[in-house]
Amino acid sequence: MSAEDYIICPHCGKENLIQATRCIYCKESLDLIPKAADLATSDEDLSEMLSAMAEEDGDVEMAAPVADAGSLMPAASNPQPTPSEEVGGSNEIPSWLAHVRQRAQTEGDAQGLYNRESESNSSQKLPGRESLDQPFNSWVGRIHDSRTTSDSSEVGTPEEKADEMPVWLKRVRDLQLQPDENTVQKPTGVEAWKQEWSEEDLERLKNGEFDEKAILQPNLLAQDSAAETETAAEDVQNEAEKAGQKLAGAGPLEDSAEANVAASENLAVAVGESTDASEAVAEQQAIGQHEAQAEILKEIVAAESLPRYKRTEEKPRKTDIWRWIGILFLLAILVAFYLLFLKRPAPAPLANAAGTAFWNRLDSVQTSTKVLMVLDYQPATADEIHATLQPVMARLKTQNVQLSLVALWPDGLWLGRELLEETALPPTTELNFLPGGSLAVLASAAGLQPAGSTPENKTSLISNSVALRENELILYVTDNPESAKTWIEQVGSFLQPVQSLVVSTQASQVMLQPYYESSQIAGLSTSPYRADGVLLASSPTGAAIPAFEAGMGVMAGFLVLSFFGRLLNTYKKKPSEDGKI
Amino acid sequence: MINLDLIAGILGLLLTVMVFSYLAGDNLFFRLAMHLLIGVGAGYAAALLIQLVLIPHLVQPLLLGSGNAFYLSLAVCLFTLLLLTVFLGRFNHLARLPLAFQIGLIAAVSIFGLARGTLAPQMLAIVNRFSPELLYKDNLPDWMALVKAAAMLLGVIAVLLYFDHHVSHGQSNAKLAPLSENASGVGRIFIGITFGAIFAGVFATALLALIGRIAWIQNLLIVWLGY
Repeated sequence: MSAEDYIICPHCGKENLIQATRCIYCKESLDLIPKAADLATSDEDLSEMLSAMAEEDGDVEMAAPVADAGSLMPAASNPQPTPSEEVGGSNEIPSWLAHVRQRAQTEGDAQGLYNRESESNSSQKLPGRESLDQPFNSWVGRIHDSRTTSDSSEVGTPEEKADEMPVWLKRVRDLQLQPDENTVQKPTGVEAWKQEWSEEDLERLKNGEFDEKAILQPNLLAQDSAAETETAAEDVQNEAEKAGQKLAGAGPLEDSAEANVAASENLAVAVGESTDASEAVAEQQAIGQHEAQAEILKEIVAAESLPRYKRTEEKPRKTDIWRWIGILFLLAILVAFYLLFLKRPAPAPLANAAGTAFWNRLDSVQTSTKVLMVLDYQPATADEIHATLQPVMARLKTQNVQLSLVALWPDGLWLGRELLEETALPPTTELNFLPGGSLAVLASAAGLQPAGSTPENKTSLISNSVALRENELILYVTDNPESAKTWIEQVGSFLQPVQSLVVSTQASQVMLQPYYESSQIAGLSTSPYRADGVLLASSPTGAAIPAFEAGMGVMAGFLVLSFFGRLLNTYKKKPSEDGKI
Repeated sequence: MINLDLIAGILGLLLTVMVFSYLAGDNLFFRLAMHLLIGVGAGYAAALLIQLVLIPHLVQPLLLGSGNAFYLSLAVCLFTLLLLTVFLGRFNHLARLPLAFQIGLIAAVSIFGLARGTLAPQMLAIVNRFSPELLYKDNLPDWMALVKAAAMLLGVIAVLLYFDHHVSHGQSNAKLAPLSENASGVGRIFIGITFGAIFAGVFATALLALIGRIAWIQNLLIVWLGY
């Protein structure tokens, strides 16, 4: 059996198969035990560490690498330095090592066990190594004491097993059981786990103010520590959950953090239920590790979630103030212009080829010809649409045409009645609802009969829709440019271009102008303000043209201000030549 | 005697103010007005459709018992019943049939109309802009017409290149020629101008609606207060 095929039980020191989870001799758990190969590697690391410590002293040289894993103390060829030399050399060694040495020299080996054991192995040890070995053995002995004390409560015959294992194995086992020094010295709390030895801690250690029981005898404080661990685990869990909720994008890290928090919680519950102090110590250390991992993962998640740029802090109160100021300013100007210039005549119409063509086509309509008006707009834009339609319908009224209205939406019925009332057209004017929208109109334009149309139940609605082609002029009234496009694309292709006129809102002007340019419609009227040759003073909004002008002026002012404001911000944020903002 | 017009006017005024309260942010009154609008609109549309569509165009032909109108209405009724199966968990897949028929029909009509009503006429319009009849006026070249035609052609090509540039960069890292890069930049200017004009039109429409409401409130107050 090679060294890689077995593991050494930390409790009894006997060899077990690598697949074993419990020691076949003492029945203790082997989950956290490294392999024998790892032990050998760690032994080498330990030897290297000791060699480095000796080299740092400057006057101690390592004779040869350790050949035997059991002899922790390598042979040294140089004599032991005097105490004065040690003190003098303490300026060149790490401060923690100096404190440890000083502490060890002060207190010595309380039990003398390891000094004696080391002396029993003195065949490999030179006198010059005594000053180095003594504090180290004292330090290892303290660790071993803390461990064996806790082990004694678990194992039924600790003394027999302790006698069976060699001393070197005890040391190795103690060191390997705690691969991280900090886990031994700082067993409680997340912060304690993460915290490095500070100068203040070392000063307290030097002055004898450090609580050694909390460090070297954690089993005495197991009950209190378990309670603290539970609280800490809950805090970590809450914080990790908060971080997880905030950071949806950090999936893997969040999952890992939650997994560690869940493990911490489970372990904390297990500790709370356990009455065995030694188990509590082991669980406590595992909990501390899980807590620390969860904390680190949480910090990583938080760091990953930070924006790449510095967000500007929101100032809702200030924004609200400026929004209200803008709203009130706009309303004040509108009301002022509306009241001050109420009697002002409408401005002269602007030159517009589509609008001119619209009115020219309208003037060419003969008396008693059939004109169909298709209503496809919403109540929200009724004011603007009606302002444009009123003079159109007045012109048609004077020409005495056969006007009929068709609504593509249910709202169009009462909007059409309102329009007839506003233009003083007879209420007997045909006004119907055509279900199906543009598709129904398309069927009508193609000469198809709607489903259910029979000579028996033929209504005026159907007669109008079927006779779409028979109308000399069709006015399509809409507030949606997409609907107008659909109308022109679908229905207009079945009609003559001179048959189609479109009435729409200003917002549709840009989208519909190309269809006039391509001669797909005979004309386009988009607003009361630009309707050529028409005075809109008689319309409800015609008297509000000054207010409209004021509103457009305010909008232009806001645009200019925002433009310059943005320019100003860009100039402020532009980095200078030296890279400073 | 209660003046119904006055009550309706006051209700309209209250609803208008409730809608305007959205300027201060989303609030209970705005939501109440919206729910009222949607509920009233849905109820009105349902009543209207039953009265003007379902009864005369579906029920009455079915009562005839024969004829083309009867069979057509029968097919429509069948599709309607299939559409209602969407509420049945086990047979809800039957509702896909009328939906597929309607969506397929709309898609076919839209594609046909788009090609016949927009693409071909607009392309022809650009080409016709360069016809000699339009570029010459009194046997002299009309430079303004030529500039307009050239600007229109440039705008169309630049905007097409801009979208091609955009799509190409979205699919791969292939770099376009410098000429295409510059032309796409010109197309971006045209698109910006177009969107600016659309925004101005939308603002003008909204402004007219606001002015109309203010004028309506003013008239209501004049009638209410009697002067």
